[in-house]
Amino acid sequence: MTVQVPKLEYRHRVDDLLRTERLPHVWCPGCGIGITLQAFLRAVKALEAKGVIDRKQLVFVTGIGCTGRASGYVRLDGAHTPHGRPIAYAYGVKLANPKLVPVVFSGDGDLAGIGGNHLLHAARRNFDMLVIMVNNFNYALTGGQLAPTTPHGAYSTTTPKGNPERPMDVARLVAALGANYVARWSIHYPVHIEESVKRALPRRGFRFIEVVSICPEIFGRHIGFRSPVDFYERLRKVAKVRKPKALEEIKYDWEDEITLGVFVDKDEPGYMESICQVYNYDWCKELPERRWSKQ
Amino acid sequence: MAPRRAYDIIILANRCKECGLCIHVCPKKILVTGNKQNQKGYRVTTVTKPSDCIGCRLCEFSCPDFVIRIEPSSDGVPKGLIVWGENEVEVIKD
Ligand SMILES: Cc1ncc(C[n+]2csc(CCOP(=O)(O)OP(=O)(O)O)c2C)c(N)n1
Ligand code: SF4
Ligand code: SF4
Repeated sequence: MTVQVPKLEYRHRVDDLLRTERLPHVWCPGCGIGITLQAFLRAVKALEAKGVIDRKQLVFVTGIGCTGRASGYVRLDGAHTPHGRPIAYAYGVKLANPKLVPVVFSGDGDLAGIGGNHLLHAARRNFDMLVIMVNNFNYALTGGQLAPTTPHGAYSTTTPKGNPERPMDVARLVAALGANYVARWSIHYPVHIEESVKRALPRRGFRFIEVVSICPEIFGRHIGFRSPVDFYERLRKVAKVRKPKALEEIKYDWEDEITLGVFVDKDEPGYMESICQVYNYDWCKELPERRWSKQ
Repeated sequence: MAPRRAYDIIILANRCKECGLCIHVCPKKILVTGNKQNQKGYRVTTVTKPSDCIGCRLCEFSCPDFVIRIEPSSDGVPKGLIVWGENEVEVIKD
């Protein structure tokens, strides 16, 4: 039955944070980037409703890749920056206007591969920004080349006989470097992703959320999980929520376990406050991070 | 036991890409691939038994394309509302 409904506007819950005129987006059917983005946007709305943040404070910065395309769909101030450089750009945002809150949303190749050095030093500096990394195990946009996160033995465009290398456990690395907040979820846990953003966005220091995702179109094709549902179920088998007692217990193993959970949750002064301890700039009083810190 | 609440399952048809994740995650198994194609040629998810919906929103949260939205029913009647266009809404009841 089809009925005529006069000017009834049905909208998605996060449509006011999306450039809806650009939808449907470019991501392939079943791609996990959209699940992650929706969870982030729900968290922004929830924090705004509570009066914790204002969307005008946020600057949504992405790098290059499928994930990097997100800045084109989000109705927030932002930038689509050169490959591997969203963190460098986010430094600039924060230092030029300390009242802003940079959010980096990008891929594993962008953040841990070409942009790896920026990631290391942003975490080491405990620089005030939130980074959300969508890990789809490969360089998807360019056709599925090997990324630092590609599992050992996995096929990719550049490893047709299987990956001889060991992968990088990015969340564990960032945790070891002293970031204030580190969590890893998979797209099977959309509510946990949202809760993590709600906790990590209004906070000082470096905050890192990795979302292990599915890329059925490219990586799925290489490893034999072309159907979104099959890839989703295969990933669910190894994606295990656990509370590790030490960093060494965190696993990143496609054949055994990819450990999920909150690995670090602390509230040490971030880079901006460290600057303020040395130079007493006028803006130091107005840092949003001061308001958010628990001390 | 309190009477089960009624939900509206709103589906923005022209955003759907037929990935099947909503159908897969629904614990009540009331979502299926429909017969009707959207503007891009994808067969849009449809609802078989709206009264079985428990409002868990797993389909909404697991949709990568911002297609689905679950709301407590506006008129107390559980429904699927497939939005094909601004003025064209298909209403599915039990
Ligand atoms: C300096 C530079 N080198 C290489 C490229 C080509 N390139 C575009 S996207 C991409 C990989 C992106 O991978 P990832 O960050 O994992 O994002 P995904 O597409 O998987 O979401 C590469 C290598 C580029 N655009 N710029
Ligand atoms: S290639 Fe992979 S990561 Fe890129 S949009 Fe398609 S499914 Fe998503
Ligand atoms: S809200 Fe839950 S029960 Fe209702 S259609 Fe969605 S997944 Fe199924």
